[in-house]
Amino acid sequence: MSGIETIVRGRLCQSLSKPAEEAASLDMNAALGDDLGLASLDLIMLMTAVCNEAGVPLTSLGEEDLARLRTPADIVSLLSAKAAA
Amino acid sequence: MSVIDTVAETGGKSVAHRLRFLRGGTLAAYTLDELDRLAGDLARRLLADGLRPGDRVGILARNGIEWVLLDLAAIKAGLITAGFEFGKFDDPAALAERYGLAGLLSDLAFEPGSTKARDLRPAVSATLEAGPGAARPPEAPPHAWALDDGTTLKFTSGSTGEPKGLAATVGSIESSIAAVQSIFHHGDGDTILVFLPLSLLQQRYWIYSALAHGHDVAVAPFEYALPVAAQVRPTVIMGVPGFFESLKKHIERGGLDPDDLAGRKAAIEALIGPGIRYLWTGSAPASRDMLEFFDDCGMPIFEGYGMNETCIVTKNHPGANRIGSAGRLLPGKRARIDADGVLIVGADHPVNTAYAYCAPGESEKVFLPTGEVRTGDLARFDENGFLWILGRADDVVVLANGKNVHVRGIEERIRAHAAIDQCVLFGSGQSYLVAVVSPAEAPVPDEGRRAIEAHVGEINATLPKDEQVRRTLIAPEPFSIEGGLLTSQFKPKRKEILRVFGDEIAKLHGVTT
Repeated sequence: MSGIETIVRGRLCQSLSKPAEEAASLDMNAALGDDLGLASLDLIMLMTAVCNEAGVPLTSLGEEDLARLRTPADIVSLLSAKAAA
Repeated sequence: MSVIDTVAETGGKSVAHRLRFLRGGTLAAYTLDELDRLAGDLARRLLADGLRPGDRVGILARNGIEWVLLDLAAIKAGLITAGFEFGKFDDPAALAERYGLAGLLSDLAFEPGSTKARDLRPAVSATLEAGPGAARPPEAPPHAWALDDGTTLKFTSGSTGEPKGLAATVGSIESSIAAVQSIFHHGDGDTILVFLPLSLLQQRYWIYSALAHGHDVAVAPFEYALPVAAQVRPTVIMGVPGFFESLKKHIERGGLDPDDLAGRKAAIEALIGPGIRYLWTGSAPASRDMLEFFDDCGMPIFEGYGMNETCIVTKNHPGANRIGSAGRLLPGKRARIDADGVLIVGADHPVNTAYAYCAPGESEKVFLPTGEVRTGDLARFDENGFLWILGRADDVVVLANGKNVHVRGIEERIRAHAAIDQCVLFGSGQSYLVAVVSPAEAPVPDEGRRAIEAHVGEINATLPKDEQVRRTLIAPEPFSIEGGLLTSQFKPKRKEILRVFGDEIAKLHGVTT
């Protein structure tokens, strides 16, 4: 598991009020809105926290990229690509 | 002189205050003097391109310097703006045709030949590339606006079908900004963060206020509100209740001790900066829990009341704050409660007396012959003049993000399934809708539950995001008159259903009780 995936899982647990030990079992392909119940405002909080921890400025991510995020796996892909760039 | 005329003529010309905005992912700034010169230069280019006072220009763009600049240039040139919320409208050419636009600035591409509207992007880009040092004002003097001129078209949020369009008068803008200034005294040292869409006229008030009263303002797209706040350290943040609810949830889930008020304040400041003078909220019902979460730790949050058709009506403010109420009437506004308990609002300078675009009969339902607005909100004033909103007189659910959803049509579509007898939707002040379904028969087998879920899913697929039903609660037995959940006319009793299933509905909304 990549460092970014670990960060996303940890922060997602926090956003969903789940205990940290459930981080490894989160479904990374669940829909952020429909399945996990995250409103767009919650997603902004999640992305801000993930970006801060990963050291990737949120403002360096394009609005279109953020708008395309559907699953936790999408977040990992986006941040991994940004971190590698 | 009105605020709009001030903006048209001088733009404030402050070299001490700034507009900050994101450009290429980093924060950039113009002094208000530079912004004014750029707006003058763009006005000159637009007029040279053949636009004339009274022409309509559309803006379908994310929050940014382009939006601000075109809006200010339009005021100087006498053009009427039509602000379209980015993400909600998807066909620029169709908008141009429907609303008779002479020009259009769009973040969504459109074919040059697909509309008669000019593409305003080249003029805006040329102005920004030339910069304030090369700016030249128009030869003609700035447009002089009359108080009853409509200077912009705004559109109602949420709801299916064509949005209602409403022209806002200069007088309503002037009186609203003056009333807000009289209670909050924005000025030197203030930075107001704007991250809700600039297509909402009230967000642009902060730009006009900065120019007229001399303070800083920062503009960001919604997605970047927090990183921009961390950098500009705003003194005022305006957000819908849902934004502050999300902040609260985020901080609480970090494991904060509920009694550690200093720790709570530090956690809030870590997210939105240490310089907050006050937080502004409205547009949807705010929970007392959320308001107290901020207020108790010394982060004042003031709730108010207003709608597109009235602009701001009441507002809590320092020295006159009653948590849970929507505050007292602002200068220039009047209000009464009609025989049905509905709040009726009058104004010295009404926003307008009819919609510019709506279905037949819609204007008459809202705009009364007296010049007042029937809000549709059930309300009361207490003995000290504070307004308390009690609910809706119609079927509108106002979500935490301020979107209005007419739920009756959705409920009827859900009810059409053979396994469903009744359906009631809840979501006032929440992020999404929850359905409480009364089954046709009980107990409902697993297969029946799956069929109901699938039916709701199919309906969701046809609805805009804010109107989708995210969670469904199937009642253990059908609603009945004897059980107290149906009227004698077999209609569901919403309040009683909410009382009976309140805890479960709250859980489905992710609210811990």
